[in-house]
Amino acid sequence: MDVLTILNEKVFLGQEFLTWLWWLAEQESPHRTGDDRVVEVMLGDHLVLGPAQGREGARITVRGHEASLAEAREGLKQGKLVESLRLGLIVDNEEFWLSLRAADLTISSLKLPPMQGGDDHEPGGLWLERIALVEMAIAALDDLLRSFLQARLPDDGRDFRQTLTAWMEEAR
Amino acid sequence: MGLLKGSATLTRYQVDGALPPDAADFLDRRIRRGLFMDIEDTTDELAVGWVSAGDFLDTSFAYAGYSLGPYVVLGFRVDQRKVPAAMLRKYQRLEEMKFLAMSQDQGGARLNRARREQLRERARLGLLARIPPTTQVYDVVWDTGRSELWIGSASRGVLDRFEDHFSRCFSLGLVPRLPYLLAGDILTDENQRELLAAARPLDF
Repeated sequence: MDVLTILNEKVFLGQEFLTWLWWLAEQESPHRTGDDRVVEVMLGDHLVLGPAQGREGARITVRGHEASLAEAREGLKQGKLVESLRLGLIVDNEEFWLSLRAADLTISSLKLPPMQGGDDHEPGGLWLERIALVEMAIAALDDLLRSFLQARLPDDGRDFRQTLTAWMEEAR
Repeated sequence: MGLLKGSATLTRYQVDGALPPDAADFLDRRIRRGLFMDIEDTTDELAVGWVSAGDFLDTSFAYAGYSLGPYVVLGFRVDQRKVPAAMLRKYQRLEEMKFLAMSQDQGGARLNRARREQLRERARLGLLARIPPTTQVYDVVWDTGRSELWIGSASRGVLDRFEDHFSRCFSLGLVPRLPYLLAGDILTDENQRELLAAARPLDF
């Protein structure tokens, strides 16, 4: 399957993953991943919902914390799913903030924890430290994706759908 | 831009294809083949190539300065000249006026469509020679051990240029880490991979 076909036909997977992350942040954080890593997931101040794959409709963009989540929840009610969100992750006491896009999982505005190295360090050493921190954030996201897949794939996603639908209903 | 300093932006790729046994020599040869070549004194509209991630004016890579443990760390520099449309219109008109004044002296050649195009191109080239290129540099981190690569951009235009330059330099492909493809790599169980292939959008 080529990249364009995947972008067109499998975008739902990214949308469902990001919607599940929202659910996780509200319902089951901190989350213990399959390989026993504990990841605390926090919803940030930016959330974009769009029509689920195969549907049409406008996007809903909300900024700010609790006050505007009501509008986002209204979007879920209309059958929309998360297209991008701002997410906080705490892994091994290190806190990361990042924005994630459903279509391609592009990471933007990634804020890393403070680095140990001072200004007088060699750039190579600072880069290695920074790369290690980026890898830590990516590994946590990959672990979360694995957890999502383990919940989503069995049973044609029936249990998964039921869980998320109950949460959406609760939010209405 | 956006990976090794400040707030990071990154697009992930899986590098498709294996490095040859003489990986270090291969990488050095291929990086030098794709170095950034300055277009400051030309009328070229675009130049792309590798520079040092720490200094975009440095393309010497002394002591294989791109190599950092298992990582290859590069800057992908994009220099571009763009002639603003309004400026081009103005200088095209000036060229046309010059042409008409000269043609009156020489018996009156007409300003037909082909001539207008010719004058437009002359105006464009004249402007390109005077407009300095803008420079953007995007950090690239390639983990050669895991065949994973990041570039500090999410812009489609930048990614297209980067994918093209990378493939031409290293004769290796780049597969974006789209959720479906990443999921396929993450899942180790064949049954789960089959479930992934069969998965359809849920109706919430």
